[in-house]
Amino acid sequence: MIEAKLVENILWIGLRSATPLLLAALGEIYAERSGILNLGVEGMMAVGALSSFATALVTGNPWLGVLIGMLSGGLLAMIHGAISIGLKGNQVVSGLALTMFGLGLSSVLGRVYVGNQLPVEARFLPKPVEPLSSIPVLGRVLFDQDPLFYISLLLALVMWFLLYRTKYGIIIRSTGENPAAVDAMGISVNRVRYLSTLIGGVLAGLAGAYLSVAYNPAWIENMTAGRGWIALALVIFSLWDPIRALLGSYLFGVVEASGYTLQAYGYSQWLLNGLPYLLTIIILTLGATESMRRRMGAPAALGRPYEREER
Amino acid sequence: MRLRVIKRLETSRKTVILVRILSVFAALMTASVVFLVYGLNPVDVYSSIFYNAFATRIGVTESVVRMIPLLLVSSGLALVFRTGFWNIGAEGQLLAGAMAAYVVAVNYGSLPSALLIPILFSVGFAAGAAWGIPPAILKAKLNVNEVISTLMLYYVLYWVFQHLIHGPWKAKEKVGQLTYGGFAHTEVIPEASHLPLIDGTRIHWPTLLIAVITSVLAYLLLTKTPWGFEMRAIGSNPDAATAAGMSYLRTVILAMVVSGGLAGIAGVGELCGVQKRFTPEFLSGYGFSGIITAWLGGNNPLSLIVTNFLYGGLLVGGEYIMITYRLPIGVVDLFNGIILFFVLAGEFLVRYRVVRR
Repeated sequence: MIEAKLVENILWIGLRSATPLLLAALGEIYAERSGILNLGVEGMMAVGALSSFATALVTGNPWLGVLIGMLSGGLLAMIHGAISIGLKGNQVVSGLALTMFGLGLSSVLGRVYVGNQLPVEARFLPKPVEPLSSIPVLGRVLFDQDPLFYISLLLALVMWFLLYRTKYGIIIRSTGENPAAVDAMGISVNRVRYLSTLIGGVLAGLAGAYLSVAYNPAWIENMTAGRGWIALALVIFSLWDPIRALLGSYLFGVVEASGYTLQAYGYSQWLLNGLPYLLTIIILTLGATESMRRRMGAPAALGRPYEREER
Repeated sequence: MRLRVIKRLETSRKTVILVRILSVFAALMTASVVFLVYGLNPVDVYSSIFYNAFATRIGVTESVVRMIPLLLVSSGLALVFRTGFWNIGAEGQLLAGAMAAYVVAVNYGSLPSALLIPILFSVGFAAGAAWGIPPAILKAKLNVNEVISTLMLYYVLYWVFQHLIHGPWKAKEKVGQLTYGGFAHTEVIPEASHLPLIDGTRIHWPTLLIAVITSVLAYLLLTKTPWGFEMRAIGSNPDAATAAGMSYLRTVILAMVVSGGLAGIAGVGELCGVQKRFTPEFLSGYGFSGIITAWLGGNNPLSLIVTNFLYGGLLVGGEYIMITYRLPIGVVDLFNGIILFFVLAGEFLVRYRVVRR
């Protein structure tokens, strides 16, 4: 019985810590599918976390917090869009700049909030969905979660459907594979890329909001702790597929959560802190191997600015 | 009237330098918003940064102290970036070098300085290179994204480092009259491993000398040797270069040995020349700031030295204002981000012309 409880706990915590990773990865999948590599996920998440925390703290309304978090994530993504789409700049450097900018901005503006916690009514709390939540083990894991958890699940399904089963998905995927063909069809490559980059930023902002309004309802400097980078690795692991991103982030979350239980057995907390990053390298390597085996690589035009052939 | 963007065929050196200087200037102007948020007068803040960095003797020598690790890191990064390999984990390679030097210094502290110090630098180079090679192999063999792998390896080593200084490496003695109960730090490394300083300053001249020499050597390697030719070829078009028979694996490993190794030497300088022991705050972000200076001044050794000296001054002045005006450490990140954005935007003017049609 004790073991069942332990497994339940690991799965429950695992899925919760996977949710921000999933949200950020879903957004980045759309950006990358359109050909825009945005390495600024970490920065957008940090600013999303701060702005949603501050909004929820001031207004007492977590939903308003989430909204502002998404807006600020989107706003930051547009800086990256302007540089890498509008000015055809280097996407790697621009993404890194965005990460530094976002982390710095959240630290500078967040200073006054350090140590603050959200009052209970301004947080998203896990609520059991009766009677499903009384199913042994899985009941609590799947049906005793907060609203954003369900939204992220739904988003993964909807975004998969949009990407693979609708005209819009075909346009986004073609823009990342062969922008010249999309251009020839009379569709603006830049518009598709701006929009996809925006989606990426909005979801990174939502991921940040999840961290500071649901997962750990307090403001801690650098609270994203590299999760943006882990999400980027999950995008590669998922082979740019939203459903695989869902599975990948849940797998990651559960393995990470089981690692932390080792602390109870006397393993060093410092070494366990390093575990997720090691796991990320492993996940990244597995994803890259799979991508080679299936000959399914990154979108062909990923990271390359689109320039129309001169006539 | 419609505007049209045309790619420039070539850009004069003067234009490039002018655009970069103006970009940094515009970035600093934009960043002054931060000071307004904190209710400070940007003019006061910037003049304070400038005065404390470049107008006093201690400011100038301290700027040189910051320049040393930045120059080492950025000479390596300038080379590896030209190979098209985005090493973002120089901070981890710097730490690897410092940790290896620590182990050697503690165990062989009885050796004479003249013998020990060259060993420390060599070991630091080797450790930094070793921490940089796995991402190169993963990229060459499995096409694993190096931005993420190099950065993740930094995080992994960072937590191993924290484990060591909180546990196995934690100092047992008291420092002076003070007991550092609960505060994690290692013992001070043996006297023989301390690097000599220029009198009256904190400039550890052996590292400075190595930094200047290696910045020239890395430049010559890249521009004047067959290996450098392969690096540049692979950087501009990897498919064509490998089709022409060049080895991607060998070239990228070589570039990472240089880049990781130089970062490792920077770590040795920080430990043996400046801090003399490890604390949780040992790292100050030179590995990340070096990305900026490599991007800004990576064209040749002279511009690298000038850029890193100026950037070092920005750090010195920045530390001063952070203490006086109680600004959070994140200000440095924010500045880095804004400078990069403006330089990227400026690149557009270097590469393209806007004309009416």
